[in-house]
Amino acid sequence: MSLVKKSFGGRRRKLTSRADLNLTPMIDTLIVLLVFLVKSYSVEPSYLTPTQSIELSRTSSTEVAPDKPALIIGKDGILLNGNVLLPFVNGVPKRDFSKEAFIPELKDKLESMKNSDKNFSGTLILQADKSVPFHVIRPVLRTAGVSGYFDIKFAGMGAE
Amino acid sequence: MFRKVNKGHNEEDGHGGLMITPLLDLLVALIPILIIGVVMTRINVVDVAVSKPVSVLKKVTPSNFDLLLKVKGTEVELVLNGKTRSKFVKSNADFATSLHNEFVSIKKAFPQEFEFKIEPESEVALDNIMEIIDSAREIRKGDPEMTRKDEATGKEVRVKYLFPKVVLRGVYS
Repeated sequence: MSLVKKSFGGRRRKLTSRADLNLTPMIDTLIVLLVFLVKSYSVEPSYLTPTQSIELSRTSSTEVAPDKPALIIGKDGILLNGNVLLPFVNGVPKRDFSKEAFIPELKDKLESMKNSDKNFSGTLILQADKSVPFHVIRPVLRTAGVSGYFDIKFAGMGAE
Repeated sequence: MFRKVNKGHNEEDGHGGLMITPLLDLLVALIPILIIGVVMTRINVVDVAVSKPVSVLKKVTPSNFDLLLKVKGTEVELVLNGKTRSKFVKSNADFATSLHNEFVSIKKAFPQEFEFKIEPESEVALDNIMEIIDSAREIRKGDPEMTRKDEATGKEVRVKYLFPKVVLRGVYS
């Protein structure tokens, strides 16, 4: 870029200056960002993703969720691997199954999953909304037990 | 980093003759990759065993340690070996802390034990159950140091966990 500067004497003098960008603050920012991202970067696979319709409880547990079937109890209903098995209306089950020994729809699905899984270990992850009362969870756990899923893991938001 | 060979450019220009373009390219390429891979919230899991119905249990070995937490609405009753030891109310501000301190004092008396049972009433929300499980899991900052005898080596080892094994009662009743 060339600039024209008028001197006191009234004579015009042509100045040459390079419009260099000061990159130092940008590089500083990028390095800080890079350090933060490297620190938060995780190489461990995460098999569970937060679901919009449920709010998980907080947990101080550091055990990462394994790659196992996840049963979701949300305000919309009971979902298994993303499919609604039992819909809820206003957060309440359409059909009251709290007195049932097990939930037949869920039992069928769990058993078919068990039969098709060659590496079946009996692990089931329960991703339930924090406001879900125990009387809704109880028949689900009973059904899981009847279907051969004895290793239950409650999902919660990690403290990270 | 590369120092540019003096070709027409003055050393006083730019960044002392350092070529920062490759560094910038690297940073700009790395940052989007890391942003995609970064985990802001992680879902962790808590192992919960479900107590089996009495009819299924073939042999019950008697134990000198039985810690049970009965959760009724906002009240938590801590029962140790069949006797009520203490009661806590969820609405109190220091509920989690006082419950945790109680677990610490029980652990002091029974350092070899790791299991406790929890029996929630029908209306108890999962969040309350998880909070109790959380307060019983591990030693926190400020807790007194404890040791226990390691069964494998016979040496005294520092206790890190309080009662991480949880058994959920009342599922089959």
